[in-house]
Amino acid sequence: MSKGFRQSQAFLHTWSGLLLGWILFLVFVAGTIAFWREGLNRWMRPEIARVEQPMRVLAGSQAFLARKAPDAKSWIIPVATERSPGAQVFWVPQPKPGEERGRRGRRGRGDTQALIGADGQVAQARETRGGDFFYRFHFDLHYMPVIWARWLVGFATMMMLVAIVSGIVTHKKIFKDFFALRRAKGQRSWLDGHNATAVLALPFHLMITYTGLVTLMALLMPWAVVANYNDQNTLFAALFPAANVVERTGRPTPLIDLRRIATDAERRLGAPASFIEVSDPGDAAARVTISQSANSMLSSRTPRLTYDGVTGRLVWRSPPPGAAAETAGAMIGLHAGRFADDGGRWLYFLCGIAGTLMVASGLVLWTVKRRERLLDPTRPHLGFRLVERLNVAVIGGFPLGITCFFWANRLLPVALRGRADWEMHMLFIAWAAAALTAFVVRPARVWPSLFAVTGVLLVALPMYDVVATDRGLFASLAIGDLMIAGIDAAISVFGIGFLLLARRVAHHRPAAKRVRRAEAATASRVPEPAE
Amino acid sequence: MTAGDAHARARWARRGDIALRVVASVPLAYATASLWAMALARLLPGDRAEATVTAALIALALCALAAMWAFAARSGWRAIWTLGLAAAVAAAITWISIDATGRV
Amino acid sequence: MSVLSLLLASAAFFLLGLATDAHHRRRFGACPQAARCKMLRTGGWLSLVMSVAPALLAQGWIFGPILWAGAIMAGAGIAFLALNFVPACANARS
Repeated sequence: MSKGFRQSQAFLHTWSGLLLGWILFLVFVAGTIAFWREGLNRWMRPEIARVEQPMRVLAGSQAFLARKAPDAKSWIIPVATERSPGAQVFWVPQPKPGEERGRRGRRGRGDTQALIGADGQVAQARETRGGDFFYRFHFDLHYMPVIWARWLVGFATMMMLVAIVSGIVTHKKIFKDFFALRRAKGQRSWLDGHNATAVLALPFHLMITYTGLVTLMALLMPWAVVANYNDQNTLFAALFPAANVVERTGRPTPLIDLRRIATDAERRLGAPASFIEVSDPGDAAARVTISQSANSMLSSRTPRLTYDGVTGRLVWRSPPPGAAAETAGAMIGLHAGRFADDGGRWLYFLCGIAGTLMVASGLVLWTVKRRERLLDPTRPHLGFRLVERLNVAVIGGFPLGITCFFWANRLLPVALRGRADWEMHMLFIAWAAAALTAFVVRPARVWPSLFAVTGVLLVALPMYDVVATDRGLFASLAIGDLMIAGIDAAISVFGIGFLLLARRVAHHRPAAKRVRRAEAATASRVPEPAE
Repeated sequence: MTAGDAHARARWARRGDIALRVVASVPLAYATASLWAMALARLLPGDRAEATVTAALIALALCALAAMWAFAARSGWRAIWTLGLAAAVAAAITWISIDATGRV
Repeated sequence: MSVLSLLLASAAFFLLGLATDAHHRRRFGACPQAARCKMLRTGGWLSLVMSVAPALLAQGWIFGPILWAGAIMAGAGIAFLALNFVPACANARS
């Protein structure tokens, strides 16, 4: 490849990586944490017991919904597993006469959902979004309409894909250089770290970025649909087939025991079920649609069965999807990683950390490189100052925000109204405070401070768990609850990591300035990432 | 023209070139990829739903490649007219195809 | 089988890493000559290719490649850490 091509791709790599790099950092951090979403759903509700008998939860869910919403239009009941806190059921009330059939109400509405715990009763747990917050945040962000957030994240993801591929083609000796790690050499060390984390998990980074685009495909690339269909619902009916809709009869008839349906479905599917939707419960026309668990196969588009809600007879089975639909489903499944067992989950998590470090080191590398080229280091240009401060605000501040989110989960009073929202507010309040500090105080002072505070708070968190909850590390180990114990342990490890990082940064003395040559050409040459 | 003028002119030329490439790599690359999504959705054989999904999957990758081309091309103008041409071809294919056989 | 795939992948990257100047010098005291370099590289690539089969045998044609991708990433990580952080023997520095 010619030098001109490599240089052009080097330029592209730098800017497509930098301009939305801070968004990508947020997405990577939240997305990586979201791999433990189920565990965090439990960890953030320390009051509730582990689910031992999923069928008991199902029976309890049905009993609860029959009492609470007997005339609902539909019930949604996830099938609980040992990993989930229970079943987060919700229901859609009948539309009132005259009310237009619009979108289903926002999923977060508290008045039409409830958590059924391990004993089949409504769980007495603190109100929290749990691990689901991280999952949602990494594409819906917060405090903005979800469509805007998904466009922003989608755009950033496309830039990430461009950055990865341009990074590969621009790097002459990409695999040979992978093994190098020159330490304490300023810019070159940062470059080596960036290369190592990037190349090490390169298959993962390519996969997660492209499949991330696929998950947002309906929003980002709807034009193929427009070309073939007058009405996109025709396509959706083809891709997401369902049994025929039957009209409500108005004759009340008891709903069959859902456990029977779940058992029959699991037998027919040969795999666990995950999702039950009951339409018109309590009516003669009730239907029960049950989906296979996404944990049991690669594709996210799992087979579904529809039963008659009164007799329990199988009425419809989803047809096998076509190759393209299956491929898209597999890509979404790869992105979510739900198919992975514990070992696979850890691999995803470690690769996600590598990705986070890759993005962070790339952002810092930009300032380290530019600093060496500054004409007057005491008065850098605006762009440099902005990037440097944003780096501190985001890379230093966001982890601190997450730590405060966890602490808010522990400390906010249980009776507080809107408690779940306030946990999230605490994250952003803490982050805003950190960001403000980053813009006001010198970066050299703020970096170690933010890391140190984060480290201290993280290390203290499992200690609090031991003292103030009955799900501390030792208690969890004693009952064999490795997920909760693992989360506490991981938090400790990260805390220590941040403390070590804080110490390292505090002791950092920038390498002595290299003697600048008089040639202006050196200063204006486009730097290659691979130098 | 002094050496300083020449230097300033070169700098602005470079900025203009980069600006063109940014236009090529963001809105134009997306437009080209989207038009090719439409063209491929029409051209690919078989079930319409399948062709639609395949076309969308390919188009996502095309968008990234188009953005890379926007910077690899010899000049900003070249990036724009080549991508524009590709977009026009896709648009023509789509138009003719929809005109001929209509949509589902 | 999965473990075998991982071991072969780690060995592969270890050998490939040793073939680079910096690491060879660190462990053996001198840059590798052409013949040795070639031997290390061939061994590395061979080991990498051999790591595919155990992964497919362990998990089949769909999850096998996924497992292999995981094995090479983990193997590369292990080799990277070993090459960079396991101290070289004292007598290598002559």
